[in-house]
Amino acid sequence: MKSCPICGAPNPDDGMICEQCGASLVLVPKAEGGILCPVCGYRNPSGTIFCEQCGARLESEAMPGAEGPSGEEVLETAEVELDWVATLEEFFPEIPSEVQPSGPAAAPAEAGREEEIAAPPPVEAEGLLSTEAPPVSWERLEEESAPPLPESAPWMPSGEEIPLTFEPERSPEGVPAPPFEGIPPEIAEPWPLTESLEEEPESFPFPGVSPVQEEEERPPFPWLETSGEVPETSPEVSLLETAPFIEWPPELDMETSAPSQVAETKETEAAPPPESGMGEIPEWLRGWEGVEKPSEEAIPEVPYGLFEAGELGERPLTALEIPAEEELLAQASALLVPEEPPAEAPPAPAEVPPFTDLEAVLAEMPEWLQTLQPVPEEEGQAPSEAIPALEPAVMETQGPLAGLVDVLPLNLRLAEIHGPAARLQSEPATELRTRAQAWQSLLGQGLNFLFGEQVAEPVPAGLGAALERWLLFALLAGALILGLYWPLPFFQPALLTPPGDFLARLDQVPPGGIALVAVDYGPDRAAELEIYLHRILERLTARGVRVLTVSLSPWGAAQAALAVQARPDYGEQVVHLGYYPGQEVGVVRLLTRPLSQLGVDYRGQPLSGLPVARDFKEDPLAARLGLVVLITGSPDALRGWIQQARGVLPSEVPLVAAVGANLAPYVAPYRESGQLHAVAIGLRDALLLDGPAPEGSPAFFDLQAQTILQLFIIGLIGVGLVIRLFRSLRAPGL
Amino acid sequence: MFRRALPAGLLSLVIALALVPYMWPQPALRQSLTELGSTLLAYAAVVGFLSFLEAHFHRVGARAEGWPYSLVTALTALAFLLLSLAEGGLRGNGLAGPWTGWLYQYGLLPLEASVGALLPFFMVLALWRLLRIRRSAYVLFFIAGVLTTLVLHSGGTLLPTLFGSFYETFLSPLATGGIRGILIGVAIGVVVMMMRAFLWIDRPLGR
Amino acid sequence: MIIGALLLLFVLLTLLAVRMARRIQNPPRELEPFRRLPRQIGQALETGQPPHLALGSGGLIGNEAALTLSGGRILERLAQDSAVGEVFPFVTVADPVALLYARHVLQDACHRQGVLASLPPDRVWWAGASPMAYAAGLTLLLGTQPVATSIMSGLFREEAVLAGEIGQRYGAHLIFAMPEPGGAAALWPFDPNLAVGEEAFAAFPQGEIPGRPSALLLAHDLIRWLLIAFLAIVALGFALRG
Repeated sequence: MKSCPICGAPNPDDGMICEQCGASLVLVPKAEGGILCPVCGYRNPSGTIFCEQCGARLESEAMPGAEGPSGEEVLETAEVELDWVATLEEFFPEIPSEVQPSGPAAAPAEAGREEEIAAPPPVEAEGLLSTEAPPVSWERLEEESAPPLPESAPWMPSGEEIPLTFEPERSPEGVPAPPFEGIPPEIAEPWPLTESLEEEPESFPFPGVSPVQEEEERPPFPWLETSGEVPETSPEVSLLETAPFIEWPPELDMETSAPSQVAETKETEAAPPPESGMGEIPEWLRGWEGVEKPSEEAIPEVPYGLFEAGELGERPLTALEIPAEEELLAQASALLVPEEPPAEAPPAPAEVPPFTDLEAVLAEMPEWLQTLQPVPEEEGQAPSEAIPALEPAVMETQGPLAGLVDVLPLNLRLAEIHGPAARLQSEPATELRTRAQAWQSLLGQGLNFLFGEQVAEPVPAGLGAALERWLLFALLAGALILGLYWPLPFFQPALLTPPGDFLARLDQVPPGGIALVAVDYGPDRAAELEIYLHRILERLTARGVRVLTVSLSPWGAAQAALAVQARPDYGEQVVHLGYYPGQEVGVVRLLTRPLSQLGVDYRGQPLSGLPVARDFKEDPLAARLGLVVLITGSPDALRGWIQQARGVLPSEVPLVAAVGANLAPYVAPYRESGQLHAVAIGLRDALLLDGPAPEGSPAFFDLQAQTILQLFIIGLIGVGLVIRLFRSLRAPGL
Repeated sequence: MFRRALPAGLLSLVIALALVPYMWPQPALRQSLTELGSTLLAYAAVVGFLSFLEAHFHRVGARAEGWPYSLVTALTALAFLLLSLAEGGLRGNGLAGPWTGWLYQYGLLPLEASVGALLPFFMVLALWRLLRIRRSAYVLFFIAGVLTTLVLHSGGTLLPTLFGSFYETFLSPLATGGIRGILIGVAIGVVVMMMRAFLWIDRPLGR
Repeated sequence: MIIGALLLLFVLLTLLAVRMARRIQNPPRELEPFRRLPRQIGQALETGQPPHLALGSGGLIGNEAALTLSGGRILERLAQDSAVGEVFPFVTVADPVALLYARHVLQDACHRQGVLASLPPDRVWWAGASPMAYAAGLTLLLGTQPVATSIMSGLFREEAVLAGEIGQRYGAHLIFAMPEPGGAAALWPFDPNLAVGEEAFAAFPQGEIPGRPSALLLAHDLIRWLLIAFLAIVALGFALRG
């Protein structure tokens, strides 16, 4: 079994294509070296034309920076023999190679080799390709250990000089390599990596297109013109220098520096075009195992002028221009046949000129890639010391990603944050502990809290709910209007009895005595309780009793002021003391206060000048009172007055209450216990204070309206119960 | 720690002071505490009013949802305050002045009475919806209680005479006893809560 | 003096209950409204809609102070839990002292969570000075501000039916804790599981969790049983005598 250099999956020994990822298993050099991208610094596997990280067009193995972790010359430029690479090479068998043939190429870069992703290519890299490349061997990529990355990365603002240009190496014959003309806009996959040209020599990469043999006289790519021989150095053709794709821009010009990622250097510009159409074999190709030595004959250079001439221009290749199948197969077989490593060590690669034309590269660089451009330290804001060195590239050792390097994105090791030391507590905080226990108990309840929840059901929205609401309101309003204006036969006011004991207590106060009336209701209860205030005042003042009104709330004081201050006998028989603060304590304070210290009334008028206070002396108010009347709708006020006043008032002073209907259950115990001597409850007793209501009187209609509404609600409940029963019978589950 | 203990300590002190007169009657102490409470209440009313204005003007400034209502509310409150201050300060009538009285009688009183008048409508609606939606025996108990009260208090008809004695004998004590029991429970809750605040077991003013 | 003696007795009983609560592993009965509270807080955090707490028309003077403080206990928990997601609750009050108290509790809880700077100043509403005006202000708030949950805990009477109706109409989840029977009767049609009477004081304070015996409820029970025993003895005595 042999393992795939890309994914590490085991494959049969005679397999040509990886069953897992489809990579070619024919030639898998040792995973060392690789091609360092000049833009992003990513170490691509040998044979890669375009950077796998950023898409920049790559040069051969002669790229600077293709060094091992120890800083030595790169041992091998591992090439991954991919079918499409081989096929590209078939297209351009005569491209002059820029690199000297090196030893067997190393294994693919991503196959478990610790690449120098951050290693900036040196300006002058000599011997980038070792002269003696170790033979390609099928090795388990996971057995290789990844070398540590260097300190700096190409994108880090290090002080190292980052080559701005990518200079192709010279051919061994001194023929300058054709300029690196840049990156085609898109890389179109020629054909799927499922076919092996060796296994299926008859297959033609362009189905449906007949091989063009008769077009040999006019090759599709003029620069593919060869001497007719199978170029021995075809595998070493510098694919990087040619445009195997039809989208090659026609503006390529050997004489001018074309905008490209790998701009031309001065040496390149001055270099004459290669003589042969093949051009020199790039160095990374020469490192292939089994790659033939480059012939002495220089590979003709790519006649880029033909492009300029527009011979090909922007038109796509036609079927006639595609090389013949036999040519492709021959070239492929030539490329794919493993060869013995060269007996002689390949000559040292020429010095690679530094990459200097950054602007040209940037001009062609896509916008998204420009954002990855490293910022010089002097321009950037991040100090170099804040960005620590990268961790070594991590090679996956298990699973389908075995052998791959940097599958996961690298994370910069963040600078340590020097903050206060963590204070470890012996036990968690109380809040945390209680919350944890709350969760524990909650989870212990299971899902009962979720399913057993009884919530208030929302009102069903929609026209039906609105109609139901308006209908109900209309019926209620109708019943109210009916009761206010039409005497109904079933209503008999004679059945209503006035509050006799309440009236009796009011009449017990001797003339000239003082009665205290506590007014503790607000505007919401005014409709029900204000009748009490008016009628009690009338009844008391008619018998010559002096009345003091007071309130424990501002609302009550305001309500009393409306009724009291408008009376004509104000000041003579009635005075409003206003708001007395203090709630229950205020009751005791008021009752124990000497009459002479009562001060002013609600208007601020001194009491001493009023006839009602003619005999107010130093005795407390509680001692002079003949009656205390509570008019309230609030249970708090009722309780406060009863509980506090009863402890201060003499036992012979009666305490009576006129309360709203809502306080009926509250007053019952006080009435039963005798703390309250009499009680008048609700609107009905208020309307009957003056005796039975004569028919047709306003009190009559008010009483009738109240009764009609009560009967209507009783009927409504009855209808609702019937509907509920009917629905229960129809749907027993309800 | 002292700062955190200060609110709880003050609360305990005030509770103790309020309890002292019940064991050692001192009218002067009760009166002083009452006046202190009234003064604090007045101060709190002023601060609360300012907080109220701040909240509503913030909503107006932030154009929060319903900001026109907030604007009207805040401006109306300010206008009423200025009017009362003017009347009380200039005319010396305090809260009993004719302007304030007029606003109360023809503004506040009708509005609150109208809102209060809505109560029976919404109560009946809730009752009707209760019959339609709820499916439990408790609903029947509730309806029975409502029916009983309505029947017994529908004066001017013969209904109260039919059920009056039954209600007075059996139902009234139960209803009253239930309410008294609830109120006793509330009183117990009040006492226990104040005891816990007094003993620093509970810190309602923060920790 | 009787009152003083009774108060002293209550103090001793409360202390006794606190001490006994640590030994008696009898979890108190669950209260449905407070059991729903954590989930509603979570729902508010998920939806981003703030919860609403109505403290009623009571202040901090008199016996209504305990009702307001009980609501403040709920507010403290509500604020502390929902401030994690910066979903600050709305609080409506009718008393200026209660307004200051609510602001203090809210700010204190947010300060402990470290989000005090994010707390808007309009989270505590003085909805009205009188109970009816307060109910009207509640309806205004619930109508203009979408809230996930509307919790009413405090001094409420019949006017609470307005707030309950509006809350139900706008789809807010309703949680009621009514000490007063009048408010409980008004809101029972909306939620039969509301907390009535002393149950409104059973909102667990900070530091106590459901499931563990609560000294608060245990003190309630001790005093209640003591009163029941006293009333029974007195009634028996009167019955035997007369």
